[in-house]
Amino acid sequence: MNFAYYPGCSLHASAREYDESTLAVFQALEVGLEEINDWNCCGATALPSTNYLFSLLVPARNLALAEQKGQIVAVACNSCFVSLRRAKTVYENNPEWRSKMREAMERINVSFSGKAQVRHILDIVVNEIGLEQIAARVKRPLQGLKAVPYYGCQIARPLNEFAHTELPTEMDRLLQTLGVKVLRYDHKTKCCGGSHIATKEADTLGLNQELLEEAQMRGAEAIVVSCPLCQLNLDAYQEKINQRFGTNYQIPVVYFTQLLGAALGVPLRKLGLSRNLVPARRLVEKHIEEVL
Amino acid sequence: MSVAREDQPEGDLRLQAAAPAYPDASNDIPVIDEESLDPEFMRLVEVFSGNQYVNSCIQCGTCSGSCAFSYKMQQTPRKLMAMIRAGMRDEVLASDTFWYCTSCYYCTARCPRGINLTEVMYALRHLAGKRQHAQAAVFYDCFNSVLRSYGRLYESGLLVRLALKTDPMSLVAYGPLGVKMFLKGKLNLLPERVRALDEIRKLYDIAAEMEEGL
Repeated sequence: MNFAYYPGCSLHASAREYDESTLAVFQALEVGLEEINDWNCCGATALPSTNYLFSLLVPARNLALAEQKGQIVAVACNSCFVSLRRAKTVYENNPEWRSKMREAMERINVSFSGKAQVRHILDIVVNEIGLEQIAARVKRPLQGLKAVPYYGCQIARPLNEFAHTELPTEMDRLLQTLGVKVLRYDHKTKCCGGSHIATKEADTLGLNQELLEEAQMRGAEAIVVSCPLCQLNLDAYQEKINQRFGTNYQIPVVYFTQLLGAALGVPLRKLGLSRNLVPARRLVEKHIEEVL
Repeated sequence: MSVAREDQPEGDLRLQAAAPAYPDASNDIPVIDEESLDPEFMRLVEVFSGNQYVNSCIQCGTCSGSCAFSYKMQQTPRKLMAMIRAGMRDEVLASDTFWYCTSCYYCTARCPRGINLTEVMYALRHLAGKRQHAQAAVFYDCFNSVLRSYGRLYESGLLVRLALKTDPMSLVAYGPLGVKMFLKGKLNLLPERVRALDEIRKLYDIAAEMEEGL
């Protein structure tokens, strides 16, 4: 198996540990992940807010680059996942805009047929590589680690692409396979506010306080995520939330690939565990030591 | 048969029932002149939302009930849909409703009529863009220009541009978090660039040209 890897901009900056752990995990699972050459930003929620056609063409260029290699696009970020799928969906279902997209791509001499498949790495791990395969490769189960899975919005919606729009179970089942005690989490697909943290900070902190509150109430030692924006809001802003709401949360927010890598026996230094702002490395070490 | 209590005669009860349950619910859509309505507006919203069928809305309110921020909005999404359909162009574009949308797609996933409301909200931002000066609009504009400068998002550069255009002092507030992120290797001092940047810039011009007159 070989995938065209689309890391997205966050994974080269604020979510570097997601990039590091994703590459390490795919290497450990012996699945090829080849970064798309000269990929560009997907446009996120910002381009659709300023231009319509441009916001379809920008992600389409990435799809065109992947298409040339005939590979399935593997996306890590939920927001990129939605942007790339959005361009593909419009191209497939909307004749009026399809002809405009085709014409524009022709004018920059990029061949584009919209055929490249777009899949989230969580989908690839759970449904393509499969949980049996993962279970067979777990070397250090994270026995007893209590965690809540937080999917966020754009992995599951607008369409039920692979995860249920309101109550997905993919991350739950993956974490259970790793030995994690997965706790009930009713906020699993509620919104973190995304990029509104930059412009409507007070309101957005409120959304994240709710997410942290349920995690704390369930007794979670960690929140496990699949999106750089969710991670940033919950992790980097946790201190600000504590100041604002008079709370005392101290909950590590880790990417599912970081836990998966640890369980697969990847050296912890390759998983970027010291980059999470609320310290996460010690927690993972603790649960690995218990088993050894 | 109704039971009238001694201290509250039946007649009074009937009077109370006639009053609206929520005093402001009946009249917060202003009475407006039919001539000020724009019959073209709904069509424009439909075009720039990727041909969403706004007219099929049944005003059930599922969108408003699903929205994380509807309690903050000047109009709930349901009400905004009715206003679009009525052609209340200026009132709709002046609303803060669509600037609150987080693109969580709950309304879209749940809409019984299959309307992608998130796309409708994007279309309204696009149509309001040039005359709106909401902070969110400035943010999206800065994002757009960062993308055309480098081809990739330059997170720290975006926040600096936003601060300079809105509130330069907010850079001071960002300081401590910025330092922490930098120490953790999560903040790039220099942008990454796409080699074929001219393709992105051409696409921008081509798209603008093709959208003209729609």
